[in-house]
Amino acid sequence: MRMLLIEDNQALADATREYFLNLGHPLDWAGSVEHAERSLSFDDFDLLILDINLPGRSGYQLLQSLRAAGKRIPVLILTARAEIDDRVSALDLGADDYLVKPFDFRELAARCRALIRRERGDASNELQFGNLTFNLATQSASVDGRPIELRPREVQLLELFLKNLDRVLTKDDIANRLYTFDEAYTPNAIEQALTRLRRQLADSSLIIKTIRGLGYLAHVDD
Amino acid sequence: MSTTKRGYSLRRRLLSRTALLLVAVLLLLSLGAWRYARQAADYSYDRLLNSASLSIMEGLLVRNGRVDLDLPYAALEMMQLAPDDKVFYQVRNPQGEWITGYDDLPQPETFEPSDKPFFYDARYRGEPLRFVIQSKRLTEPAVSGWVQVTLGQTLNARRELMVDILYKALLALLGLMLLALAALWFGINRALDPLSLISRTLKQRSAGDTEPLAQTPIQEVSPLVDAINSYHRRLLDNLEAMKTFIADASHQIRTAQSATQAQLDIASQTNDPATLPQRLDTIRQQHLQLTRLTNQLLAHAMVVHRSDTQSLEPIDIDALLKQLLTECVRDHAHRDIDFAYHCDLPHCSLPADRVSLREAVRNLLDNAVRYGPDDNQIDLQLVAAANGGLDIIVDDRGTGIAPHLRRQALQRFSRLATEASGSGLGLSIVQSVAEAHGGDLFLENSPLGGLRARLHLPGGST
Repeated sequence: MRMLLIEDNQALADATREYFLNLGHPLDWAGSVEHAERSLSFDDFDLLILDINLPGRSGYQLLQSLRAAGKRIPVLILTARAEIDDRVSALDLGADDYLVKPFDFRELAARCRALIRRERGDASNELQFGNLTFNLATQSASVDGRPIELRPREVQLLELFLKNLDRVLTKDDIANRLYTFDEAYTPNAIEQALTRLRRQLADSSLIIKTIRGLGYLAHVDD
Repeated sequence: MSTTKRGYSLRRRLLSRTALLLVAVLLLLSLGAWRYARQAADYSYDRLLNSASLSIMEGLLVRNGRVDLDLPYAALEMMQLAPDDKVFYQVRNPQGEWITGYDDLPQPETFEPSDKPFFYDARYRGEPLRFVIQSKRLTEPAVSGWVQVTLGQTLNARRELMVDILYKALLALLGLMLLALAALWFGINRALDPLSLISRTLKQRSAGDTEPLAQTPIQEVSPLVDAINSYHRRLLDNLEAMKTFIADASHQIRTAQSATQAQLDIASQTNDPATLPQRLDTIRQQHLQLTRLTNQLLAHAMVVHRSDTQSLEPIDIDALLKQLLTECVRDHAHRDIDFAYHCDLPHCSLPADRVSLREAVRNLLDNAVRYGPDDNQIDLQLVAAANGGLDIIVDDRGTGIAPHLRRQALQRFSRLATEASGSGLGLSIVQSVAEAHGGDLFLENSPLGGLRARLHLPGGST
């Protein structure tokens, strides 16, 4: 994956580049919006990491012009302002995620992976979630390369969770996607499928949390 | 101040309005004076006219069966009282025929002879005149019926008298008005004097002057002095609180920075590279704490600032809590914490400031995660409060806070544990938010065994 970091603090930019290089991901760096626009015009990137406070034109303006031009490239916003107004407006303007400075590099890398995963979801058949691999074509999953045994319902359930990472799914949401209208189901059946799925995924990076009174949330911890 | 309008002066407005009123009164009074002057002049000169005509009537006699006039000198003498005026007379016999005097005097349109004099106005020889007709019934065998004496006089003397009366009345009125305006000007200045005194006093004071303004004996001004003093007191309190806060904050930040600095110095001087990873880890931990402290300080400043400036608008508390809990679960998914949410209310909309309320609830959840055990259970609830409004409740299974320490826990920079991870601002932020919403924060025992933080928001749930 190829990423472009737009950040005016050189020390932070250098550290970020080094960190991503160690992970095996090249990271291009632009110090201003103008520079970033030049890079974007002759290179393809999978992801933008965009600082808001930049000398000259602001990150918001770049984001706005990108979205106005119909470019759907995932954008992760870095902001030093912790006020939620900032974040809300960033998401409203078409950012896909945000991080408040100072941030943890591990967190940044995980968010970037999550964004790229989301973007590639339909493009490739084999999806990687930490150490968990899921093949859409064969409907099979493996952890650390070892295939895990799943019943059809559990595969459906897993796919549903993987497509809705970090979002709450209610029991009704799950029932509506897993069962047709005529099929009788009991909440118990979902619980059982979930329990077995959790057991099979015990060693994987995928965590399925139960929030009593609300639903379920799947998160990739990588 | 920028809102001061150039033309808006209390003094000028009061004066101009009163002057306007006085002018209106003056106009009304002048009209009255003019009417009175005219009546008075008419009254005087009509009497003169009447007497003169009566005197002419005296001079009428019947001679040889014919009416004749022997014009009495007294009548003309009487008219001498108005030396500038011309006098015209006419006498007619009972047949209405002209006997003597001017034969072409204008006659009134409707006239019935009677014992009373009849007055009328008419123009004669290009001049306005006042006429009187005096009638007398003759019952002599030769002559019987009404003889008429018509006497007219030009109006110069009347006008003179009227103008004279009017002029004197107007002069008196005008003098009275000017006197009233002067008194008003003086009164307004006296009334506004305390205001100028207050502004002069305020201007001369230094910003740090803690003395309140001296009380004034003037009833109408003393609320203003009270208001200024109370405002001043609040400002001073705020200033004091700010000083304390800055002192506390500097202490916290500098301590954390010194610790980091010390570790960095030792790490850079060490001869044993094997200890580096451990030192780096310490530095990292200290830095994380400094980061959290900075974030909390900024959040605190933001919350306090917003409570002063933001207006509350209805927001869906249920949706807000669900979103916050989801974020919290996502951030702590790798930990073995059990989360639950509970809300039975059909509608949970309440006037609130979304940004600061988010910050408050996030702090409560963060606290529950941070100070709880690894297998913590955290329950978030939204329930209707007994006394109206809503309660946001965060329960945990941690060690809780002993009842006698709870009050202290709400104070800024008071960390109960010596463990370094807290900023000492979290609960204080929540309390500021609660107060900004007119609510309160309560620390209680949780049925789960740990602490229950209850954020009460007043206002009817709609």
